Amino acid sequence: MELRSTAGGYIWEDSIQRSWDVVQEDAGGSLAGVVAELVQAGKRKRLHYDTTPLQRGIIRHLILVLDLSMSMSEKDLRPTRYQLSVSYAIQFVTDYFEQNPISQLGIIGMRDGLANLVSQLGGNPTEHIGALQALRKQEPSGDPSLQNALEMARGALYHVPSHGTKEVVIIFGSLLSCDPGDIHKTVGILKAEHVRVCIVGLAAEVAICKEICRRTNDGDSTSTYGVILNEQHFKELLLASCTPPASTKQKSSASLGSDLMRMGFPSRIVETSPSFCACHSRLSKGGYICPRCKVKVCSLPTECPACGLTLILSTHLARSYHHLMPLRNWDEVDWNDAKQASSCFACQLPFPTAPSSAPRLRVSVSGSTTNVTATAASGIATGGASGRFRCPSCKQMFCIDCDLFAHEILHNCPGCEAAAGGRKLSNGQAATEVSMATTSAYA
Amino acid sequence: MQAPISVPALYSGKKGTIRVSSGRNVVEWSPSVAPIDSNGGNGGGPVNGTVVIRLDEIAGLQASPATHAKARLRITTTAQTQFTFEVPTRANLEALKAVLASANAASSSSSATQSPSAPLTPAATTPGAASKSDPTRKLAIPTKGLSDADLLADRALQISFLKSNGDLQQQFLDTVVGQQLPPDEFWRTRIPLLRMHSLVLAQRRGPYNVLATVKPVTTTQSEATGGGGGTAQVKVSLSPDKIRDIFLQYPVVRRAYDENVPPLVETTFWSRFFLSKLCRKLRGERIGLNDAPDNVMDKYLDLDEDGMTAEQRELENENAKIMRFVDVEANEMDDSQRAGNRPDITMRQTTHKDTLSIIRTINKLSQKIVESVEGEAQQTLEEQEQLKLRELALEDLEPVTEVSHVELHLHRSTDSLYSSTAGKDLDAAAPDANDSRASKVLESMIDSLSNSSGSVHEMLSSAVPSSSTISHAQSQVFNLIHSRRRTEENRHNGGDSDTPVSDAVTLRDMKLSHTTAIEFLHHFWSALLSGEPSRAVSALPLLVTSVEKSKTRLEAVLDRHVSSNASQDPAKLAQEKKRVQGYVQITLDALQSAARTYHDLVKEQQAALTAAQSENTTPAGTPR
Repeated sequence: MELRSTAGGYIWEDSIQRSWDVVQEDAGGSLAGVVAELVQAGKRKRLHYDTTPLQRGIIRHLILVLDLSMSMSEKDLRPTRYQLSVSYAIQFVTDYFEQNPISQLGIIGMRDGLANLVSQLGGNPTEHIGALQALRKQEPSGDPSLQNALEMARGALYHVPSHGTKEVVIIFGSLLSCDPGDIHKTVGILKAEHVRVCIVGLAAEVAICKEICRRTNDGDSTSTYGVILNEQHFKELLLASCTPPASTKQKSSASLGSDLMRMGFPSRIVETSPSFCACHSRLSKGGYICPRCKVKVCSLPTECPACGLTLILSTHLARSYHHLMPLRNWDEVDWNDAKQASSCFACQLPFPTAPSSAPRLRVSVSGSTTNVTATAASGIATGGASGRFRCPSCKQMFCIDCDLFAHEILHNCPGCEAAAGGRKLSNGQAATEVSMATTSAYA
Repeated sequence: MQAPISVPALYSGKKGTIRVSSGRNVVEWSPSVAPIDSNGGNGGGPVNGTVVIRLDEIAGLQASPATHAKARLRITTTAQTQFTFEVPTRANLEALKAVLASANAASSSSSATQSPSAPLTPAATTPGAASKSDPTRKLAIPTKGLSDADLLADRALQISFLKSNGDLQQQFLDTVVGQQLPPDEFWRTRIPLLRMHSLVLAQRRGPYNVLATVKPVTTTQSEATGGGGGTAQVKVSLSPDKIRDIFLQYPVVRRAYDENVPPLVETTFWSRFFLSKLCRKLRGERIGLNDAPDNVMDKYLDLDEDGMTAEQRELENENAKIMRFVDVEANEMDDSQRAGNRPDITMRQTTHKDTLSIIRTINKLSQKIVESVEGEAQQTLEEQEQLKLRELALEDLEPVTEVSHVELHLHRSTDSLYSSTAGKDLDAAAPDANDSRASKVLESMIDSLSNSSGSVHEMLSSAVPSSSTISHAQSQVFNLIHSRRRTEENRHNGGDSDTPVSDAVTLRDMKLSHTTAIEFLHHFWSALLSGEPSRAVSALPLLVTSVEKSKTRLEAVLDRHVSSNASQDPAKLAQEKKRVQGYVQITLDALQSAARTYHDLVKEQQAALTAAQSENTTPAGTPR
């Protein structure tokens, strides 16, 4: 926990900051400027990632454990903890597979002192979402048992090969765990098997949860165990698990020695008449043919139902890679350097001009309908920032929305990609193809 | 002991006879007809063979109610496996049940006299009872029994899993029973599923605060007996499990029950208990002034939940060893009251007597629950003290442990990807680990890339597309768009017009054969790629025949379909055949290619054998 404030003293020695003091009306008595500023500040905040490339396990095997006990019927989250957790779990499944296409997920529920299997470990998001939707109609009941859930998660992750991660994420709304045995022994076994546990607490910090996270994450419980403050925070804590965990020094030294694994990159086939697919035994048109055993599967990524080969598209790999090679943060450009570009390199919308003309410009811009210019213009109000952001490697300037888009969705710098293509290739073919392929995966 | 009995019975859909032979102390079910292919060598398997249950292993007998259409008998063994037999007539069922019950009682009592530690007691007919009160258990789920070999050997587990999963059962019947796939092969590809099922069966509920879960529901109806003036009536539903747990957790209730139930009726006892002050006290609620007095229950109000009076408790406390740091007398020097502090709320004489008793009740209960789980009572005083000290340490004030992550050293510049020195960068980007295999593969990749007529970019720029290839590509793209649009439209219209209803039978047959074929392909590839010589040698030839058989089966379905509409002219027939064949063409190709792969490998190996003139080369089927 961070007990020091920015001033150097303890946080409780600081003068109190009230949220309504932060918001100041402007001269016209309007809050619009302030709100825009807050929005931009929020965007900037999201942009400051740690971009150190770390070794991460991108072939993940994660078990999501949901608390389905009586305590989840509390209404402190709307409509209930139960319903909100299921909604967020659905979102988690979607985001997880979007960011980790070559990973697998399974869901376990804790109800009546037992662990129930909600969905098997698998790579198909629709199956998991279907199972979660079915859960919506049920009611929470009984006590949760962390031990039963962890034991079951351990069993589900038992067969995971050494190149994959073993993770458990628990949404825990109770303050007790009703276990049939000594949970500390279970935690010991989990640690020995390199299973990492993250917990999102909905009620209050529970000692055993902290202990579980601390022991299974090499002593790091601050980033793995969090208790929510509100709905938004709940979402943030849960979705933080979408990022693959960085492997720690201790763990990787224990299991050093990388290994090659086989993957198939099938190409899509087009059929005029339907044929049976191997995965569901349903008639369908088109699909992918496994390069090793020649059976047809409906969708990628998947494991070949006949020969067990991992079948993926290269774009899936590329999507997983951005966690390993995060795009570097772009620098804020101050007004001295702002003259180099008058419009965003990516979206071509004009940047705001120098601060001397700022008040007049704001008037002219406020009539504009485009959201982008409005937010860019509000950058002036903050004083220092010119609304321009520069990529440190290609030196191109971008607006904040393109900055966000590039860092959160694209994970590529349009400037660098264009430069590489333009300089090295006479026709720019290969480079644009690469970036096109990557972007189309998100479209 | 009754005479042995023999009754016709169905088990997992097959006809057979169930026999109780008292001489061997077993219940035995054997099929009346031989399994479909009795020469397969897996006749001893649990499903198509006989079922044998030892009498002293039977933990429960359950017959379907007399109102039920089918007369079924379910036998639960001590290993938690269930066997369900269907008996044609109700009379037979009753007779069988009576014989089994008496035989079971006789054999279990005899085994109990032989060994006093026999697991089965007459009370254990409800299996949960025995396992729950067993104080020796430590870990919820045994760590052994989850390994692949254990799961493969556990036939009972496999049977129970098949019963819980209808689709899988069908597949099992199709492949293992029908097509002679060895059961081990079938299960080998489903080990994770088996493991999950075994965990589901093995998990147990932990002890919990029973009284908190029993919630009396107050209804305002005045129909029942002895309600409080007909205004409000309290309804409580209690299961035998709950009653047992209440007795276990609150010995005082057991004492009250023992002392009062002969005069009182059981239901009256419980209804009075749940309205009494005693219940409120045990629940940890405040006792109000307007709680109705109860001359029976209030006698036990002064006892604590272990059924001891305050004096008895004190006497016991004097004899008990007290941990040093909670011992007030031993810690007089550190007494905070000397510094002028008020005594702690739990140490004050007068105030909050009822609050205190609530705190104590709840604390004692949770301690008891934890002890019942962990067996903490067996720890020595020193160990307990160490544990307490660790518990008391404030972890929030401990320094945060810094976790060090493994940093990747990447060349960030995107230029490097396109530069001619790509090889060097790749070397630098590779992990320092001296994995010779990985680096060798990388080297060969770089070599092949650099040898192939300059760089990729040159190749790209040199290939000038001709107009014909461009128009070909264009038509391909447009075709794709058209077909995608058609499927989307079909989906919107809510039906797939491409699958006519007329050949529903063919479709069903084909789907079944297709599923079985994929199943065999799966086993074939997993055996081929397993890298285990023994498995490859033993299972592969068999699997290859099955794969080839699957092909003939699919073709047979095709032929049947064509011959069924024989009335049409030959041209249409051929068209029809082509259309239906399209459904499974890919599967047929895959089967073909699997068989070819195997035969190629065998040929290769034989060639290698003859070339080397040696017997000790790698066996067939190991992947290159």
